Amino acid sequence: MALTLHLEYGGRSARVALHGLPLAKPKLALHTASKVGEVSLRRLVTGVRRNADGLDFAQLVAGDPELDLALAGTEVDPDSTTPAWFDPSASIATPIGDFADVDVVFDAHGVEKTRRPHLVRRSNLNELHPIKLGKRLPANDALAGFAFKQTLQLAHVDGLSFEFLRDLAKDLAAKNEIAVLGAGPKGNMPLVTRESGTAYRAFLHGEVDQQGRYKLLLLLSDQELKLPDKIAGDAG
Amino acid sequence: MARALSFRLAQITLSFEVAAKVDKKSLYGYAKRIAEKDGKALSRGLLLADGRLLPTSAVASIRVDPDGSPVDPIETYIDDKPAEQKPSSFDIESPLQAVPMAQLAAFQVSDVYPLIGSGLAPGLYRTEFSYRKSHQPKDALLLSRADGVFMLVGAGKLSTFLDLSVAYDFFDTQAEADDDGDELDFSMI
Repeated sequence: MALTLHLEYGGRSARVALHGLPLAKPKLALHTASKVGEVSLRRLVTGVRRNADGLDFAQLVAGDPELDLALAGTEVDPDSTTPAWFDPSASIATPIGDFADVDVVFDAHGVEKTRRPHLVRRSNLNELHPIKLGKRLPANDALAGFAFKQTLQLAHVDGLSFEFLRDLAKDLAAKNEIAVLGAGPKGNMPLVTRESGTAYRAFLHGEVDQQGRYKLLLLLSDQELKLPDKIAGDAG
Repeated sequence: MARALSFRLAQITLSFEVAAKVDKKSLYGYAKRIAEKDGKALSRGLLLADGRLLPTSAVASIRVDPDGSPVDPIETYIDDKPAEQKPSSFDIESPLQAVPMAQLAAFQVSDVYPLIGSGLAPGLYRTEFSYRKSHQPKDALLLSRADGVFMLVGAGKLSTFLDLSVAYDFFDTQAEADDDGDELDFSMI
């Protein structure tokens, strides 16, 4: 199903469609089997007691304290289980319901920077404030400067939005530029395409052909194409 | 020790060492979601129907046949014919083909590897990459810039020019579909 994008360009705004794209090379229809039939995945209790406290050599020689064979081999049916949280230091694991959902934020070197309540991002493609075109970048610089994690194609929904998008594609293609897009009142916030989704920096790539048809691709990136500080430092 | 990849461009063989994968985490950091009570991090487990609580580490997946017997090794098929496994890219010479830079616009990147080596003229080159033996290597692009070479591994996408009537069949309905400065802020952790 197409997403809706509220887009502003040239003093006009329109709600247009945003489509996912098919793979250029279709995935092979692979399946696994044995002589008996199709192979499937099942989840079993391993019977290995991980993080068993106080284990020493004598205990390991005397018995098997690292094993818990009471449930070993029991199949775990995903439909009849539910995730639960427990205190790992408690002698008997019991579910705890009233916990805080927290994000621990680390920097690129793995050092904790801050803690915050878990951040849930909401889709912002079709809000009151339209997605705005910001600065323009030379097309080749932008294409070679970022790792694009998703590509979606804009499509018109009526005759007016056809002209709106075709004019925008024509402008970008003529100048060989890529436009930076932004959300929010100032048009400088990253785009979130789905509920609880990832925030992406967004770019718009436009082309037109000789028949007057247009192609507008929304490129989403959360990563610049560059080396981490330590690798860059080592290289230097 | 870094592993080496060999590529063939026309009649020339090029060799590059593959550096560690570069991802968002290594560039900007990351956020780890935890459940916390009284300042203590809780562990995640599975609550069974009978009320028992298992740590997630106590459960493992196993491949079984329809009778429930463990199967190892497994056979992979395409349309009832055994699927051929292709060698790892580290064990073969992969062909390179120069392509226009615009191909980057229709390429969804999943992994980025810096390549250490020289001899590749600036530009964009198409190839395939498979870290291990696999049935279907992934699409890959080699981006050669003045400051180095990146291998972008991912999937090429098809796009289409649109006329007044939109070719809705073309689009894959299953597909997933406060800074005023000049620099784009990528620290959206």
